[in-house]
Amino acid sequence: MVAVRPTIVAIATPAGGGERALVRLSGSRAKELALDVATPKLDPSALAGRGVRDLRVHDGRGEQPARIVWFSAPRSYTGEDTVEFHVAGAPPLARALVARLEALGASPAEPGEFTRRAFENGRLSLDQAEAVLALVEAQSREAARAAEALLAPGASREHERVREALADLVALGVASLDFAEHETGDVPVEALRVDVERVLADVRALASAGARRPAERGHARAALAGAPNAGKSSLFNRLARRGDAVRALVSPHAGTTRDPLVGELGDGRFTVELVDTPGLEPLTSEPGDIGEPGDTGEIGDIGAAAQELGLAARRSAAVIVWVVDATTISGGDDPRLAAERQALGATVPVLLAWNKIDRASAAPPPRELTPLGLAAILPVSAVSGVGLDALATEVVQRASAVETGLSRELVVRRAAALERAVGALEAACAGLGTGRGARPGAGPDGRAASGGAGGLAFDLVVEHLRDALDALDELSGRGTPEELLERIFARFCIGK
Amino acid sequence: MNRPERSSRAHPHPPPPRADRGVADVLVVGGGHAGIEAASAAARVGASVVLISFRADKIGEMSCNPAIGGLGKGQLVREVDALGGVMGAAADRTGIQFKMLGTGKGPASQGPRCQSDRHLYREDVTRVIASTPNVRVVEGAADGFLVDTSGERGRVRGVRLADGRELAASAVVVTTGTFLRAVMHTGEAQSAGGRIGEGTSGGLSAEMQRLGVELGRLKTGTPPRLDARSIEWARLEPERGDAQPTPFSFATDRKTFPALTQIACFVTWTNARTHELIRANIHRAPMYAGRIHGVGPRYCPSVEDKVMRFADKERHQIFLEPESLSTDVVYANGISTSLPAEVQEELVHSIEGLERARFLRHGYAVEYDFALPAGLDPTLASLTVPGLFLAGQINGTSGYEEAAAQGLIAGANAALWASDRAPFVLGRHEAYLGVLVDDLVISRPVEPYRMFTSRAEHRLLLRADNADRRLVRLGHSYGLVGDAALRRLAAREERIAAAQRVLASVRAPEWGHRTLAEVLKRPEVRLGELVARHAELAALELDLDDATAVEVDAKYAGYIAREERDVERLRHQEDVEIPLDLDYASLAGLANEARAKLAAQRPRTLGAASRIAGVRPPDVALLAVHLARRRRERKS
Repeated sequence: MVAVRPTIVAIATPAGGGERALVRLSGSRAKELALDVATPKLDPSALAGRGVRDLRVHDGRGEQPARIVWFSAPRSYTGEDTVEFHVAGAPPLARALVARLEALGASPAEPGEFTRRAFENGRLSLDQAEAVLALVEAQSREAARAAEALLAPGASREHERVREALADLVALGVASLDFAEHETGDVPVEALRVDVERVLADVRALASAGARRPAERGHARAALAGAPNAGKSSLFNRLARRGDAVRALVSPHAGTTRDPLVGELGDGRFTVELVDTPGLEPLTSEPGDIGEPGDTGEIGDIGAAAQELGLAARRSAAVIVWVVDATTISGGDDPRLAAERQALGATVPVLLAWNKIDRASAAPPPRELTPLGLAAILPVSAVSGVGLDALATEVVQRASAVETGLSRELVVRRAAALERAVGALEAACAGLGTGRGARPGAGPDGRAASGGAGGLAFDLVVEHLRDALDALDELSGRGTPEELLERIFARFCIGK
Repeated sequence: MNRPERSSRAHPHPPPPRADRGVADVLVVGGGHAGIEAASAAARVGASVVLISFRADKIGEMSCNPAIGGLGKGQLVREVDALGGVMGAAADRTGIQFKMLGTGKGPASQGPRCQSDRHLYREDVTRVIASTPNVRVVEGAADGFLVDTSGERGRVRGVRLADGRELAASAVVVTTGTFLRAVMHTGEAQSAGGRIGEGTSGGLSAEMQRLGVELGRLKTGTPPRLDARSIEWARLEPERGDAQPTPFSFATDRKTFPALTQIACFVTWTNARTHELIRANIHRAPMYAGRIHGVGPRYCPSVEDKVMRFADKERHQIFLEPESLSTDVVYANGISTSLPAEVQEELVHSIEGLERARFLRHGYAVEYDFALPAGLDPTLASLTVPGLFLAGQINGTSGYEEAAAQGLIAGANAALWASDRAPFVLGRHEAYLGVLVDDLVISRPVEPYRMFTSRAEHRLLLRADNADRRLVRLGHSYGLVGDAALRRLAAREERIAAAQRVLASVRAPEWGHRTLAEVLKRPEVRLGELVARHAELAALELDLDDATAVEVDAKYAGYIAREERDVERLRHQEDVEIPLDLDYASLAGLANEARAKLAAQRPRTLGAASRIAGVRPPDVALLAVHLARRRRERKS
């Protein structure tokens, strides 16, 4: 007997367009689940064959408009019944729909799972499947790095810190299930609840910090890079259509930009996140340049950290805008150009912005620059505005052409994972109770609840904590039982 | 429970030729906890069995702590029992203190434990083995294998004893515990042997290595045994068992349980003076002086380890556990040590209540060879040597329960293999036995492997209370359990169903006339309270296991449904086998980290691959596709 595979669901946002999100549902129950969320109620026969329909879907919290596209087995990508929901691009809406579908019985799809099914159902050849999966693998690793770089400076360190704190709590909980009281001591329910609440607050902060970043909404990224004082920040300020984003600090001093600055650039159809990065060369901090004399060491550290962030931002970009000060370069064979190009080290398209042409000899960029591996050369002036429209158009086209669906998906997944962690931690907190003593209606005759101050058996509290840790680990890879045991043995003297 | 389809695995080698049966179908070397279950399981499955032991009267010896079960371990004993094993029922007949651990942490976390009378336990299992049809005990020291070299690789076809006797059989299960090239240490003194007063099996070790079995070295230890008459009991706190003890075995008649007088253990503590003595003499401990090279377990550290590693702890607990109703031997649980004898005495005498304690035996550490379990398949058959099965501490595990569990798996499979029948393999979602074996066969242990509930990802499904509901029917289909067990299971399921009917129909006036089923869903309500108030429930006479089952079904339904969904979702991966000779270097697209981990650990199934840290879902998907390609190419 062939077991029926669970129906799977995931956000599979298409590349480029940030305006719609796509939720894909595949498996034998796909249509049934689609009918469950559709409103008004549809007749099951409405989803025969394949087709498109605009309607509204219930996501458990409210209704949202959606266009559904359905395919019947075996004539779909996966070879199974498949329903795609195209909903508004706001990630919370798509996630709410996914959560609803999961509550109805769909399982979250893993990266590559749709493709794997497609192959296993004979819809893709081996070569096709291998090619797609190799891409998924490479991209998901790249995207994991990218997602990290997308976070606010220091956020991944904060994520790591919160994760460590949570892992310690899980170890504490697991230890008290795995070992007798005399080995690990009584469960300090009150202290544990306080600690879980603290982690919960931290995870909530991570989630909301993420939600404020444009890149968290899944836009492709373009990074401005170049030598210090090449004019990146001036270009950034002219290009970026920024809402409340901080304006880049422009100064005649080389090395002013220390954190990547973020803005948006769009052509109405596509939105690209534009990032300004610190100058490529290592900072030589001269007294009087920046900072007070005497704290050069600290400036050096900040400079190194800034370089690292810049590198991360370039790695995560779909396109790099390499800004060169045309007034200081002698020609295409200037060795500084080759050195800079090497420092960029990009595998994505590089656009050369030949800047300050208002002050340069106005000669067109030399042809001999092409051996440097450039996608295009664009003469611009951040001061006069010449060439800026052409540059903006090129950036948006290039960036949106790059397949960024997966890194966008990853960003959305990260937000979903944080949400899941929040939910699990809330359940754990509730399970640990809000304090000692009887709650209204806690027991017959007003007696205090038995079995600890909390509402849940302790093993279920631990189950929720493990869930939260799994959620935080989702993008970085799973933790192992061995890791937990290591923590337990480091902390408790186990063994009679 | 919604049980997924079982996989149809194969044994790693073709069955032995039918003509070459010798003295028995299955030869079991070693009469410890693994050997006993191996012999019994092989016989239950229908094989004729010879069990070889140094001494016929040392079958079922408890070399260390005279206790069985505990958290995680108690679940293993229950599972062995549900599959018709020996350990649970023997422990019930010979236990002198029973305790359900973890009862305060929720119904899914409980593990039964008991203190045993070690002499009665040994006598009991010796009797069980003697009366098992088809099992014969032969006294002797196995010194080497009979090897048939006519085939492609050397096949083990029996055992040679030290006195020159040769015993031929289809399959050999080696369960020699810590006896392979064992060295005991007490301070600077060393002697060969795996247990005080007994020998070592050096010949088997060398021969296994010649046959291609990879060996490693581990360390374990045991505390001093003290004379009960020299301990000042009145000054110590007693620690008693449960007022209403619960047996391990589903077959144990609760009316005559417990069979023996129940005793108390006593608690005392180390102190500053003890710790000072240890620090002053630490250079004389074999581990610290570099004389022991094996690695000791983190979960069972010696008292010198405890004092050195947890320097800020002012005192450590010691449980004084009587080893028997009929002797004065007391096991000083908590001060395992290999310090020199005179230091041991001084440190014990620094402890309250033990100031004048007489030593019956000093503590010692044992170093021994083990066979790397990565060389086994999930039936515990050697991948390199046809006919050879390994179970117990020889596989780098710790504990009687882990040994018994492996013995059952290896014994049953040796018998199934010898008679050319399908193997008996349990999944991680079915039993701790499955978790144990699955963990073992990809591990290269650096400390003895012990079961913890946290090793199981489906902990809520694998409970002590439902071991019979999980395993009895399956065991019956392999012949491991008889019809009586099936009938017992049916009766128990009827009791649970009756309780559920009562819960669904009776309303509670004190709870606003809601049904008891609804009331029981509330986290703070325990079934016991309802039983106390409602005669209809009390009339069912539910035992603790029934009550736990009913409670878990009511309160954990949502969680359990989710775990079952997870199991179902991952099930197909567990069934996809990965050939051991797969060349990971040739697989395009795998991430380097995943490739390195996979090549090092060589998981047997896609499921095992997915559990390796650093192997991510896209890697698993790629692997799945590559395996499909390989299968297809093999076919054409």
